[in-house]
Amino acid sequence: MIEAVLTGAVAGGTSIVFAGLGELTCERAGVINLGTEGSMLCGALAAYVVGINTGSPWLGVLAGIAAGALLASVHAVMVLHRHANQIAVGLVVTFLGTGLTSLFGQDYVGKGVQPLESWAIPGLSKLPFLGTVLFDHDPLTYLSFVAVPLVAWGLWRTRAGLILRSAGEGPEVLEIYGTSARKVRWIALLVGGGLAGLGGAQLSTAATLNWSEGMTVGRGFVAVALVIFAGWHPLKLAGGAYLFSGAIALQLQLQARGWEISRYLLESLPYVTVLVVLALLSNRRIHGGPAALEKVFEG
Amino acid sequence: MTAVDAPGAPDAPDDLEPDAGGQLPTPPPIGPVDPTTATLLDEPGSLAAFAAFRHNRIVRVAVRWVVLVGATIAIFCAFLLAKGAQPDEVLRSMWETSLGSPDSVGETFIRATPILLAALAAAVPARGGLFNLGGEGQLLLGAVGAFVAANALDGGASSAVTLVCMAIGGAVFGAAWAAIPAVLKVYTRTNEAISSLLLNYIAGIIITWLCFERWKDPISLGQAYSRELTGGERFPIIWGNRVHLGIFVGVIAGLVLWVILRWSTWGFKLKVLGGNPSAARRAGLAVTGLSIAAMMVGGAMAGLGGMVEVAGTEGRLRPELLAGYGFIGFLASWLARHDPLRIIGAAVLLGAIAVGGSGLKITAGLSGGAVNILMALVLFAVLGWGRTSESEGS
Amino acid sequence: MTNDAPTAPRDANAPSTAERIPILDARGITQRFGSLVANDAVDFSLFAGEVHALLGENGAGKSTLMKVLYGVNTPQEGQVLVNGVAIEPGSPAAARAAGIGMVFQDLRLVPALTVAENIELACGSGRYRSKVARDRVRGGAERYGLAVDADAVVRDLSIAERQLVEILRVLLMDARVVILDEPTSALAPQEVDALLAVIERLRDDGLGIALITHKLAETRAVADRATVLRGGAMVLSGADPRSLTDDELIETMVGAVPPPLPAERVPARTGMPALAVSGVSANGADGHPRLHDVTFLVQPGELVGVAGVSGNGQRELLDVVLGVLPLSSGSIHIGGRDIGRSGKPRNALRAGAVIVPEDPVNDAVVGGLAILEHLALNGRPLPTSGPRIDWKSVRNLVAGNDISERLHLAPLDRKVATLSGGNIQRVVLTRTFLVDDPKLVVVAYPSRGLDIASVRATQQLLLERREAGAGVLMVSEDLDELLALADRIIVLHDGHLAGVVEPGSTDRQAIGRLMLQGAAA
Repeated sequence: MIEAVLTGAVAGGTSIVFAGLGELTCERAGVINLGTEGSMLCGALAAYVVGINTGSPWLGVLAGIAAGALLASVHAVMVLHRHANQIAVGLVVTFLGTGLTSLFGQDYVGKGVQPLESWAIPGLSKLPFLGTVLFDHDPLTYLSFVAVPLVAWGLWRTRAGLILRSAGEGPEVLEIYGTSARKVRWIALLVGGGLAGLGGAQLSTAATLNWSEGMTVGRGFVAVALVIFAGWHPLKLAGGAYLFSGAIALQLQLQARGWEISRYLLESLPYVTVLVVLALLSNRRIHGGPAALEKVFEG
Repeated sequence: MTAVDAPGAPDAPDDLEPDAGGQLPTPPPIGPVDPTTATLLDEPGSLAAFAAFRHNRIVRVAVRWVVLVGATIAIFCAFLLAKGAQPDEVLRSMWETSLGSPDSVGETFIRATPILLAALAAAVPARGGLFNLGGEGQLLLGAVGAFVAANALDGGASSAVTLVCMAIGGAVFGAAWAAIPAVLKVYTRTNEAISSLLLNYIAGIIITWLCFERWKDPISLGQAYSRELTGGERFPIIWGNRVHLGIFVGVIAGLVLWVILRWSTWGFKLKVLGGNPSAARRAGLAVTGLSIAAMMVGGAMAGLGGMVEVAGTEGRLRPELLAGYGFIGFLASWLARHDPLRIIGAAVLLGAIAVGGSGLKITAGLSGGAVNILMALVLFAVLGWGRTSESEGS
Repeated sequence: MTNDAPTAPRDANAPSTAERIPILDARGITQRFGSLVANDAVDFSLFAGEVHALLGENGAGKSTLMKVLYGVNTPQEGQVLVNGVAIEPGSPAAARAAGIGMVFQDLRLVPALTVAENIELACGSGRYRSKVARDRVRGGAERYGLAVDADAVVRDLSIAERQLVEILRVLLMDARVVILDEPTSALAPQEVDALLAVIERLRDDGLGIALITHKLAETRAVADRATVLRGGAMVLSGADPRSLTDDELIETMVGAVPPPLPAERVPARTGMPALAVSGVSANGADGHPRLHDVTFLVQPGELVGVAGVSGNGQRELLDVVLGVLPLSSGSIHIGGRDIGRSGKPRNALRAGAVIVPEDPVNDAVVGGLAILEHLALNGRPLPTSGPRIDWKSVRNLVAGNDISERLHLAPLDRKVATLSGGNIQRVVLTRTFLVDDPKLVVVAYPSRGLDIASVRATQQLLLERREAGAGVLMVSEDLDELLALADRIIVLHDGHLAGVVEPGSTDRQAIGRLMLQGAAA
């Protein structure tokens, strides 16, 4: 059972890892993007639709990335050019995403898509326990394994990462040296939206193999919460994402084994877990966040 | 906006005011402030007539809004065209379902009521600088609270008493649900926007559980919903088939809160807290109590909204009850910049669009959720371009 | 060193200034903001190997001129030449490329990044390697003799250390001209001396240093020439400061010299102390211990000053006295009443404290509210009539005395968001002095952002409060102000009470040693 739960945690966590990395990129640059939920939905639908119409799930994935980034660009315009409140705009962007996917996804509900096949890694997938948990997944999941350390490396070991962090920690200093913080945030939002779209694409073309309205059920919002509880660190973020999806997998396993607990109680487990961990860790996160981000919450 | 945001471009003569201000640390504005804009705006216009026109505030505001409304509708139509629908047909059917006949106006008011109350749920905390994104869950818990009260009385009281008890039950449950993020915020500094958002999903699961198991109507067969409230537990119908007395609850709550926020000592304290929590604390205001109270008053409003929905419009608890209305309420609050009086108008507008969604579904065969696009566009217009003070104020 | 009288001209072998081309030459700079003339045909030149001080009061136009030199502002008239070639106005990048570097008063460093990362941000290019960046900082620190740790996070550094980082940054960007904007305002005397030594070393390396200041001592210590601005106009241009007396210099800066404060004082009373801080330890807002076992008394009718290098526990001391921070041990009594350890400002306020916080913009005012509304927020219960606030009584309170006139308070209906820093300080001061019969007045940096007349009015009001029997606790970074006003001065070092000194029987160096070395000094 542990094996099944962990396998489920890794498979189910991929979309949240991507969305979380995207959100982390935005927040490190000083922008909070609640539109991540909307970008995930758009990515999921775009990947699904393009996957069906072209027969190529990979083209679908690219379309998902583009759709997520496109929606995030709306957030960028509103926040970076019109200086509207980030929290409010983020929610409206998600609203726009649900509306658009509702309108354009209507005819695709329940249509089968060519799935992104699992690639069992030769050799490694035969390992006892670890083989199934880690090395028998869809290619995007492997990509997420690479993406997490890659983002961490990028943040702390490259000039782009230094500039990105500066945009979140001291944008006015960045401006002095001739780098536009707005430009950096634009790029961060496009990358972040693209990653959220990629997460959505993984959800529809590799995990559920289906499209239904609002199918992300708050995963994008969970990603936002996870970024805070991970202290804006990619590795901890991945841990949080697997904790969330692990709680879902555990809940499914317990139900399948006919546990005498209400399945509704179990269903709320992932959300409760995130909330409780968030509350327990928040006190230590007073000064953890990028400085520019704190201003957002001061209204 | 706090004073920190106020100073202008970095080249402002901050050490040169006649009275020598500016030595306090006022951080330079973040990001893209073009130092040349300030002077450009001050340049006199080349054409005197155009300047006079430009300076006629009413004309400018009117032109601005015509352009905004036009752009909003145009973009929405563009999406409809992309989908292959006929925009004129869609808009007409939306108009007819929401405002085209007395019945549809009544329906708009019915839909506007939970939106209005959910908007107040966002607005009161927002006055105190808090983000309540949990209106969705608080609406649902309010509906549950109303049912708990109704079940407890079990028809043993007059209709008026029952309804008052149900309203209290709804308000209490909504307030309690909103107290969770407030307490977490105050005692563990958990971000209330995120925690209230997550609680929506938990509330949704609670409702599902009640409808599928705990309170499942035995005669509902395959459907999952609770028993139907009896006549004494429902708001009386005052007009047509559906318009009930409950639609006044929201309007009255809005007016009362408007008076309280604008004129009372509590409203002033909340404004100070929202403007600068640190200053509020140093002025001896009970910041902890104020924050929790603001969230709970907000939650109580949403709870009332849930109660009105079950006791007035729906009559029973369903899993998909009020789905999305908490968020629409949040949008209405921002549309109205958290002013209860304006929220009444914003709620009617968004209510009309929401009702238009069912027209979309029935006559144009489009997904009802597509009206979210229109709502989002309205919000973008107001959040991004609605503020006229940018060019006129300073 | 501050008091060293300069002897011979420093660079006797150099050709006289008239024959050389200045590395920086600003000619006829006029900068207007609307109807306000910030700089009126000002000239400022700087030669290699020279320190040129720019003197003037707050609001004289010093910062505006420096922003013109650094390309932040575009003047309406005049031009800036570097080595005889005009540079593009209004472009900091052009100024930097021409070798002009600026150390801003509010230092432009990202607190969350390390020193090496900050410097990389300013002058790195190509592929980023953290080792290269760190080596560059170490090499630069060695070459210029600056004590800078490449791996330190800027947030953990003192103001003096940050200043060195900024100077190093400017040097590593190949600046030939270094502009320092009020660099000594937050430093202890010994730190000032160390900084002036750095300035002299840089000058001897052949750099041109423009030093913006309003302090005469440091002008005399290092400046070869001085230019004085008053009200935007140039009242002294490039004169040798040694050719003028202190009084002459002061008069060029401020016009008439303001009358001194009264020297005679009513002695402090005895009885129930206005403030009793006993054995107080507390953590700062970040959770780290910031105050350690601090004990002192403020008697009624006594003004106690708090000195210290900024960041040594002053903020936390103010916050525990007001009850903003909880105590981890010890107790605080105001007028005999225990305010508790839980961190509730209400207790301290109800016990009779009033406060001017360290950072009024962030901690005292609400941008969207009018001045009148702020005057009600003085920590006393809000004046109510029924469920509403009695604004009329607040207006009457203001009209009932001359405090608002003495402090030149802006009109009561102005929104605070529209006010300058100095005017915000006036709002907070007025609010504090309007409180009737306080037991304890706590003020941080009372004269920040104010012109000399208002500073004097504020100091008079503080002394009046003291005469009336209130205890006054005043934190200031201006030792002159502390020495002029305080009955006793307590010195904080690293959160410990390093010592208590009496202004009459101590000198600045002794206070400086306490500020820098603590009780061991």
